[in-house]
Amino acid sequence: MERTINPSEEFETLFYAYQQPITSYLVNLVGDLERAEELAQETFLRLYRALEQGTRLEHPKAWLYCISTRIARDYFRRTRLLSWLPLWDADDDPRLRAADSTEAIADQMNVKSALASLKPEYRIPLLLHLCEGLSTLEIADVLGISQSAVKMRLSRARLQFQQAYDQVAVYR
Amino acid sequence: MAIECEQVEQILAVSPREWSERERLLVAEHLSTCPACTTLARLYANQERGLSRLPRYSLSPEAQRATSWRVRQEAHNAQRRSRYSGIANVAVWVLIVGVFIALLISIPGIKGHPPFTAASTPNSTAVVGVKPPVATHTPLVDLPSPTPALDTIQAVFGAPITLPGADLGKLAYVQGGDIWVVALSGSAAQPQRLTSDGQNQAPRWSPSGSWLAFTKDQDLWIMRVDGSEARRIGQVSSLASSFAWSPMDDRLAYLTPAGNLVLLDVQSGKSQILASSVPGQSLPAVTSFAWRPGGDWIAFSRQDVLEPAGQGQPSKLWVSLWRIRVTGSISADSAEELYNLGQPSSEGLRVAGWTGDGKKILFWPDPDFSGSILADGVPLHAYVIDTRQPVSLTASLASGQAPSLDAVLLHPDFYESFSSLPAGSQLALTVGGYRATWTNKRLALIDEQTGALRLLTQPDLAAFSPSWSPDGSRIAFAAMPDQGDLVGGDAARLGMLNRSIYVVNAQGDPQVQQLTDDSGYRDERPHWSRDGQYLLFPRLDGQGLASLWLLPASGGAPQKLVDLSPAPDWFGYYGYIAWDDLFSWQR
Repeated sequence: MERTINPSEEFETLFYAYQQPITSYLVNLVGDLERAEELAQETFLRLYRALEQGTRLEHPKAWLYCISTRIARDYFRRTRLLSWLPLWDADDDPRLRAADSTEAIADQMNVKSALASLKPEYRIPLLLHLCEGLSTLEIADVLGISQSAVKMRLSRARLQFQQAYDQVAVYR
Repeated sequence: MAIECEQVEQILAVSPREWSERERLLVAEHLSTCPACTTLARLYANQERGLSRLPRYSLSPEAQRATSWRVRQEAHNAQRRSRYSGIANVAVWVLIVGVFIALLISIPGIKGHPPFTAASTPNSTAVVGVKPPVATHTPLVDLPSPTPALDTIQAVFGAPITLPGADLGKLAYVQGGDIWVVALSGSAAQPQRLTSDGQNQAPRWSPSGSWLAFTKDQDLWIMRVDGSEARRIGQVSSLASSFAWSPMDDRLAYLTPAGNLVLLDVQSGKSQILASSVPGQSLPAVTSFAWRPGGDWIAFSRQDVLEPAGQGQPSKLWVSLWRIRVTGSISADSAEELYNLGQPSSEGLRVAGWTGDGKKILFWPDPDFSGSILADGVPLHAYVIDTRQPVSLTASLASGQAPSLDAVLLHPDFYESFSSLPAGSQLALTVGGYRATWTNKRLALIDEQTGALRLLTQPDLAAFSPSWSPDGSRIAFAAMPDQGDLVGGDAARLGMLNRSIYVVNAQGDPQVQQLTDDSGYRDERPHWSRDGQYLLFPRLDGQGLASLWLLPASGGAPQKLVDLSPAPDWFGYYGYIAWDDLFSWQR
């Protein structure tokens, strides 16, 4: 007999398992902790609605990244912030302040600045693959494109990231 | 087969964990002849490291509360919608029935059914007096009581756990990035959450069971087991095993990012630097340390810069092994150098621990100061205090073939000592070179007095993470069928779902027994209960969710205790997951 899923219990399990990965992904994607928290809340609210409506999530991880990506894209569209220009200031980010040393802070800021210079179409697969550990197949599922298209985007994203990183590292 | 740079660029853009065997070979062949792609591969490796080290963020407690509130509102709205929908259905049916009856009555020639009027029809209430049953007693807009499961997002107490009834000590674990504790005694237990910011990991019980040490980002914290007196101790090194309680009392040793070794007495709150860097030195001085089993000495490795790097030349270093007594009056000046690798030294050194009898210090040489060589494992050595000489413990396994069997990876749960009188002490360890944990890993047993080594598992099993039973008669471990190098991708992910918990007897002919066998889970890092009746182990399911389970040591069905989250990435470091970052068991 099929197990009856209690949406509240299912939500709680998934919330605990994924609130940190989804929030981290959104912070790195939109570059703003407060905004990312709002988008993460919206993501989990949609998760609850889906569960409450009886949706069976075969791959909750991919589903959550897919929804949070859509919400972030809507946010970009709404604010016409197609390429966000962050003010990565270590004083504004307690996580950066906690970095080992001045060198570590500088490097994390370089990485974030290089990320920020990428268009969302490249930033998203790069974050999903290298920060969140999703496979190219999972990313294809999240973005609704083919696996080979994901690999192509990753290849361009990594070259562009490297160029941007080299530039910001020189100027800092 | 020749391969173009453009193709290599595309393969390199994908993380190596996803490469097929064919891609790995193609890349290796191409890189051996193409300096440009070799440079790109190095840059991409740095890129991957940089991106994977970006800070992790959790929803703040306020945002978690807001989410909980919004979800509760959503549940309430759904309930209202459902009620309205019920009322609407009843109303529609009443209307239909009413219209039907009215039609019947109004049809001429049907006797006994005069035209319908409320005043003249005594029985009319049977029809028009029907009221929606829910509306009579239940207010439509009452606020529902909060859904219990949702409330636990902010609750201090978690859902009760059913237990087998034995006294199984106390468990500290990470769920939602917070530290939770639960006493595993009786037939039920209720977990309690001690932190609320979702940024915590690596809980460790103090020997008295009164304190927990844990990390929050790069900071080391301690708190009492009821969550009180939480305080930040300071930053710790990003190296593995950067802090450890004394095995005997509530003193905590830790390494700072600058490479200072510090000892904190939690009761008195006083801390003392045991070894420090020379002012101005750019490299951390102390690189590893380990408590002696009796808690009376700490061994540590250090590196001192003889000549800074310059003109394309690396720094000239002096690498040495030290020990310091940490009982009575402690002074950094009393630290004693035991062994060094020459001035300048051509290789480094990492302390692994002590033998169970406290007579030898286990260490790895670090050939050429090469992280890459260390990642594939190197032979394990022991420095013998009495003779003041180092010896190789795994030399008898050297065969000259690659990957070698005499190498030991640097993971903290790849070796464990067991000491008893008069039997002496023995070291169980995982041998086998190559960084991937899915191949070429076997369990070995070393008699710490004689150095005699024997293998406990066969080559068809990739086995690791040995754990001694309390009486020293058995060793539990994790293993999977060794099918060669799975490289990465789905082959590795699915292959590792065949990892199960096994036990082998430590005396006589090794008899291996498989205790778990569920291909939906990947079982690792077993721990014995104090009475030897149960094993606690973490597992990762096919969806990547992590949880802790309890298993009768004689075999039988495992029982789930709690979820662990955020769950570790399935690939970890070539199939190795640092589970100690997610739970700690005080037995």
